[in-house]
Amino acid sequence: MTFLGNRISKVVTVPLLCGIPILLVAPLLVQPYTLAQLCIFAILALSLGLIWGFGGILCFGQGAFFGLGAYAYVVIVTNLGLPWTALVLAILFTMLVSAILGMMMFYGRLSDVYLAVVTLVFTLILNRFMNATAGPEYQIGSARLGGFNGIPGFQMLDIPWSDASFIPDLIYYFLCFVFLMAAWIFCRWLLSSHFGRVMVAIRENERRVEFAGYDTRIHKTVTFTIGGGLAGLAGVLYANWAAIVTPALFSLTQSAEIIIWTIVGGLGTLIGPMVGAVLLVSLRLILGSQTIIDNFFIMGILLILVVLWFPRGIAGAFISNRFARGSARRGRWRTRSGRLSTDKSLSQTQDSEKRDAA
Amino acid sequence: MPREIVLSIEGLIVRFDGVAAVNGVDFELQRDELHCLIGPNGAGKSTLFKAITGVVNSSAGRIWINGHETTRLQPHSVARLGVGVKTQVPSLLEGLSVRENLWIAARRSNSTRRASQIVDELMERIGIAGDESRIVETLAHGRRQLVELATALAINPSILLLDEPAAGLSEEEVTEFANLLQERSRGMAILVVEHNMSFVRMVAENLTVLHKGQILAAGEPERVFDNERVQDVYLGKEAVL
Repeated sequence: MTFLGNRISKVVTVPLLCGIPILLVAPLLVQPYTLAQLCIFAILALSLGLIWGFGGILCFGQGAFFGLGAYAYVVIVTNLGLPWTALVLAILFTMLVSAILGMMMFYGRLSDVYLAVVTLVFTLILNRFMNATAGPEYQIGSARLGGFNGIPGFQMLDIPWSDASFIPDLIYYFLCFVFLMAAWIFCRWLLSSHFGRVMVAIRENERRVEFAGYDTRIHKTVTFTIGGGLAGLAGVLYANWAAIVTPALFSLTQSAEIIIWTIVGGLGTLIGPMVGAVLLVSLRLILGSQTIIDNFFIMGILLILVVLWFPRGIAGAFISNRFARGSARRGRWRTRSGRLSTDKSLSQTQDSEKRDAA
Repeated sequence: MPREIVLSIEGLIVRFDGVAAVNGVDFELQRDELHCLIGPNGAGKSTLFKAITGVVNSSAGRIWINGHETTRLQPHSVARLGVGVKTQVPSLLEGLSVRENLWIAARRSNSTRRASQIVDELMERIGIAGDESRIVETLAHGRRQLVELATALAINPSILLLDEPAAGLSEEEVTEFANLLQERSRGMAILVVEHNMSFVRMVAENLTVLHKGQILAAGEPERVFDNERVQDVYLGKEAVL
């Protein structure tokens, strides 16, 4: 029980210490409506950060699972009329789709490059298909897919056992934040588990893990499915935030943005992709109010600068994590704690390195 | 009394683009045996090794390990039958520590506590306890070879397959490695693919020479070394036997 208790406290402490002050202070500085959006994109970035940064699976299709989650929620809630049930079913549906796609790729032994191409094509197919669903024949139950215009006006998540038909902005922000914290804690728990360690080991050397007797195909499929589920959760929350779902959710721009958030934030950390998403989406919102220069031009310049100056991303520059990619491979910031860790502060790193030197 | 056969290969052929890298090999490895497989470059040693481990699919023939046919099995299934593998170039979890490398291997079929015990015992036995927390990619080649040996042993194999374990090692390290193999657990069979003849002389109980994908000679080392054809095609006339 002590072991279990230690593990739970290690997994939960950092998210709670970071999360509770932000949860309470942020609404005083930024509108809850915007904060909810940032939380949703942070979950989306976390989903890619987990499967790419720790599982070694570069997925160009995270936007596809994001869109699938959103569309699945709308279709299910339109037919069933139960928002919270629809939330759960939409996530399960997204996980099912990602599991099927993952099995095809991993049991087919696709190499990393082909895997990236397949997920990219999957996103493009969904994007093209959803754009072509304007006709009345594209109807699932009572939900019309609506083609390019998407599906507006559906039943939103509500507060159970109350008369309100939607959740006010501030409460919705709290809800999204709780989901974000839960996702972060879940990822930390996963990485501290046997499965999580094998996941990282597969990233390091898949063949060696196979020689130890692990079926890496099932491990990678499960990792990919979890990533799909998290992206699906972000999609459901986004649908409720935006009150409309459109094929733009499946766009290449969306998928590329998730990758940029993850790289800029710090690949191989959990907090990095979340920070990257919050910073870059905030920047996009700020830049969106001016018309002098294109948003994506600035984002592109920023990506190049970060990659050049901070190859391990923003979080990676401050966090010692042996799983962080980039210059970490050369061991500059590496500690020798001898334990699998998730996030670690710079001060802890320096302390650790001093101890090692001593 | 004949010993139990733990690895049996029958008429194995492995072709790449029509070229037979392994061409009709029959082979048996007995429990407790330390068998070396030698041959010139391109003889098919590594291909045979990969076929046994499931990394390469055979074109014809059959392989049995501990009584199970493994001809079409994936590497993880072969490993689960008790086959530990050390590859030609150390194949390790580069970004993880020595302990983590061993722990991942030991944990698959053991509880967390038991896996930690196995790791401690192995690090002590192999002599890498001092490197426990070192990240594997920062280790020198000789230490990496030892870590990979320990990783292969961490799954408690009944058959240990070693592909050129002495490659890149100093004379002292070769001797150290040879001693480790001779101190192996009871019941473990070891198949070593090797170029380093002094290492082979130190450890081999039985020897097989592979040439152009076929077995040229097999038997006790001294008899194989005395074989004229072996001297011609592999060791050379001037070889000191």
